[in-house]
Amino acid sequence: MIIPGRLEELSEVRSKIQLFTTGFFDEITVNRIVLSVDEAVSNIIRHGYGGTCGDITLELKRDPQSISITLTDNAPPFNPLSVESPDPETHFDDGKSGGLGIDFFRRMMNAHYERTSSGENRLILSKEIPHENK
Amino acid sequence: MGDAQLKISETEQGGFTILHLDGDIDAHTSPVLKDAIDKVLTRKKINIIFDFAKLNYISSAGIGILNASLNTIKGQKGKMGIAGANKTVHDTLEVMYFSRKVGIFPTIGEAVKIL
Repeated sequence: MIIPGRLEELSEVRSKIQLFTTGFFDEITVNRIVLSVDEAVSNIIRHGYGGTCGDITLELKRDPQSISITLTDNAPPFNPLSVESPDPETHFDDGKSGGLGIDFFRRMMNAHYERTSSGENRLILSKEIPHENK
Repeated sequence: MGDAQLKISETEQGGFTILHLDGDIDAHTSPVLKDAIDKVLTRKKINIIFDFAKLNYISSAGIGILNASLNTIKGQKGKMGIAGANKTVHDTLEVMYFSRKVGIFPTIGEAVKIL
């Protein structure tokens, strides 16, 4: 599905991810997955497209073992996995407000980044489904 | 489905300004939070409790604003706390380390008493 690159769309994205994950993960984990995607999409819209127009392609896949969520955009090349993680001991005292979102989805999900052959950014977030929910 | 919404109302209790948040805080709605906080920060004495009882969701956009507020409030010798966070919001505050910086209380009453 295509997501217009506007922050107003974040609520709709969250609803889709909520629907996609409920029943396969507990409530806390569903929220962590929803938040991970929100943070990734917000980052693309705010920093990738930076106020210019741009779409994000969202693909959802689920097999008996795991889920994967793929975000593809045409913003300038950027690998979020190359960003240094904040130090939780000093991050807030330094007055910093950014950097938490990328760090969050890197910790909560298995994250993989690639540049496609057509020059797009592609971020793949995956997570194993707990045995009891398979 | 429509945009996420965030509504904020204000009351006073025990020397604290209580900001009651209703809805979701994300990158789209976080300016609403910032505006509400900025109004309070113009006052002489700043003690704020954020009532999260009707807050469904918060992302790092909201936590960033709360952190900036916390630094300002501390600089002016004021107090800040969060009350009534639900299970998933509380988890987000913990996993994003913010619970190390600000007191999180079950109720507004307890926040007023302890802060």
